[in-house]
Amino acid sequence: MNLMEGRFGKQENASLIGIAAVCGSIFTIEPQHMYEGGNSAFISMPLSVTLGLLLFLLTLGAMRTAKKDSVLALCDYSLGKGFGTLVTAIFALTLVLSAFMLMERFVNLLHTLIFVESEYANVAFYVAIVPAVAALMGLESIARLAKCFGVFIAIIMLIGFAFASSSFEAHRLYPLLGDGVMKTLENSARGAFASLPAFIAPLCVVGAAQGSKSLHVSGCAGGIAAIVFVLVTQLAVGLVFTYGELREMYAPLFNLNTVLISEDYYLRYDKAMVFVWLAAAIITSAYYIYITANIVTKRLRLFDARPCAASVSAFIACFIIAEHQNIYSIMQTATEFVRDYGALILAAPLIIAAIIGIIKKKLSERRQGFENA
Amino acid sequence: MKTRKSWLALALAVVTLSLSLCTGCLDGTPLDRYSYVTSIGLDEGETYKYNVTFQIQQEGLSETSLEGAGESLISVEGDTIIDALGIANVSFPYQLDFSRTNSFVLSDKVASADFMGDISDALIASLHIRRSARLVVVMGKAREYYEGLDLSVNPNIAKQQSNIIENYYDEGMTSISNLSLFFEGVKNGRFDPVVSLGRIDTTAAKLKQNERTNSASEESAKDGRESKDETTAGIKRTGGTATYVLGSAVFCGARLAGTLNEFDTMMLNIMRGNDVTVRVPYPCENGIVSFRLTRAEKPDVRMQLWPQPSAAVSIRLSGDIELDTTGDAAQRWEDELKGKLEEYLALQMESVFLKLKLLNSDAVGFGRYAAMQFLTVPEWESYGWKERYRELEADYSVRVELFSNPNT
Repeated sequence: MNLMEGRFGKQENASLIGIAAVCGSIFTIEPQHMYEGGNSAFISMPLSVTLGLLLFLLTLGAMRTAKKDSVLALCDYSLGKGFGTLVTAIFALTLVLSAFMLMERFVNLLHTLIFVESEYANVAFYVAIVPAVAALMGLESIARLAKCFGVFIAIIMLIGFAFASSSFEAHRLYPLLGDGVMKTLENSARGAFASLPAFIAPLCVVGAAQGSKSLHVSGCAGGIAAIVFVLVTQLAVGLVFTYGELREMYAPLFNLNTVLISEDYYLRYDKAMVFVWLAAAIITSAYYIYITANIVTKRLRLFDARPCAASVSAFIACFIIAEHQNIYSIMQTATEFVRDYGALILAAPLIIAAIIGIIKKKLSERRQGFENA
Repeated sequence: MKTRKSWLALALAVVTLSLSLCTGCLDGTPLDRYSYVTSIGLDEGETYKYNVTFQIQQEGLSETSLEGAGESLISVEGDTIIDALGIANVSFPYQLDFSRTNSFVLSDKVASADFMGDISDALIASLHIRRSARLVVVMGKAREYYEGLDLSVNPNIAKQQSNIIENYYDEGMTSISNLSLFFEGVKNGRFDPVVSLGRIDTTAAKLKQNERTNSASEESAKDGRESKDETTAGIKRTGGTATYVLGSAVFCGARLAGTLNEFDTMMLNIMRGNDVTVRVPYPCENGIVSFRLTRAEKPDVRMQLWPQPSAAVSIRLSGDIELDTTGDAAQRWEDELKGKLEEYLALQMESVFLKLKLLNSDAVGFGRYAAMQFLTVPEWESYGWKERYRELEADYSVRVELFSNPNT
């Protein structure tokens, strides 16, 4: 079986998880929904990533206890082969949707803000081909790409926030709890979908990440970095725009510098910044496409992950164009559905599988202990 | 075999890298397809709602010289900017592009009416206008404001834009607002927008455009009986552009509520906590002492919202004596002048606050501090700040420190 997993270290894995979690939490959220009753995203979104990290730690702990080398094996062990396959199929579908959401967002961004005169399909082709190539190169290539770009993307984004800092005003963050505590918690739970795939994906390829111990360390590092970065980003956005403006904005980060009174030409880097974010989105999309291909290849016992990666990429590209031309709206409907219930759909079976896996293992150890005695 | 593979990889790398230089070839657009609109002016129309003026950048005759470069104006009537744009596009050989638009100029009549629906967020986004484009309200017509800039001299356009900012930071005699801040003020109701106030000095320069001004104003100019509206803030000048920016236009929501002169604007800038430097002349018995002051820190605003909104504002300024015709200001500073100046400034600020309250304009932005006392949006929105603002009482106290103690 040619899974093209390869091997990579903690830094690569931490970068991969960090980039994917941050990218999802910043670029796949729907502003109208998130800022509807006020802006408490600087509380809810870091909380969402924290929930993702906690689920990752729980599942990884269960895998170690049950001595399973991937989340697929854990699901099979805990839920049985049938339910296990169903859960992993749902997981693969949400990965495809996550990649679609990210790529569609960036194709729209590029088309409406930069390549205004270009055909939408051309821009879609321009964006879609790179993750496809990266996914075909295999997981190790994507992970090393993430390590190369991770720190660079973080520094560039922080420089952007530093430039915009003169227009930060604390009053814009208020009222701090937005629509109230319950709504903030609800947003945290729903928003967890944005980062959950980033935490669950590495659990499918534990071997490539040098085992569960290494994955534990790199997952925590990437997760904590993502929490901090999401917090900083949401704070920066919240200090520049009030919730009234944010809910009407398609790309708040793109407009970050437009509040500055003396906007110099050197501050007009926003178009260049789109390409830095695009690099992060490409890495994340490639990661999700590859993991989908990996799951399908393992489940269907295929020989090579590459044909599946190619077809998933083509599928996403076709749907981005088809949805734009209003030929289909199925992905849009699915996207809206997973924004509301995706976290529940992903987390519930994993929590159940993790708990059953731990109990099952403990019971079998106990039974074995009795038998030995 | 291995060598052939590495050559193949190298060739592939070269081709791929060279492709990155060809990004402009995808759906390429010739440079001369567009004409860039640098500013949009809105006047009242005769037949339709607006008379929209597009200030269009003209490239030089060659790449290396500015000859032929400048700006031209197209004015078109329409019920909306989009209507006018349609007509402007068919009457111009190039496609109008708005990505370089850096200002909106509104006539006072348009600003007093309900124009917000016509300069909406959606319009700005669809025309790809940057939200950092500045707003100017003109006492008079926007078209005349552009004409007063002497558009045949290209640098004036850019210079005037940067000069407004310089003036704002160095003198504080005008206010600055861009589309982003304007939308924020209007939509959120935490402050009312304050915008640069543009005026036209008909006596300043013998411009081609001014030749058609009515003979009465020319006569009065000759007699030295110019009214304040015809001169630069009441001061007669010769030379320079007819157009100038001084003072501020104060809004109540999206409508122009009134104007402030340059001194009140300086006070307003200090009251808002803007990082500006102002010149304050303080008249004494035996002369004038002029202070150059800047904010030492952001104003400390303590607000109480119940039962009646009230605010205690303390402002700390620091600065220097810039001009002293009395000759002994430094000696009198600690014992006499400091207290008098602080009292004088507090009184001036209270006076500006009362003016703004009469205009029902929270231009100082007390709403920003009021919003910080609420934990949830429903609580804040049900408080109804805009209605409660009319009941607000503000008490100002000012402290001034000189950079160097003049006695030492």
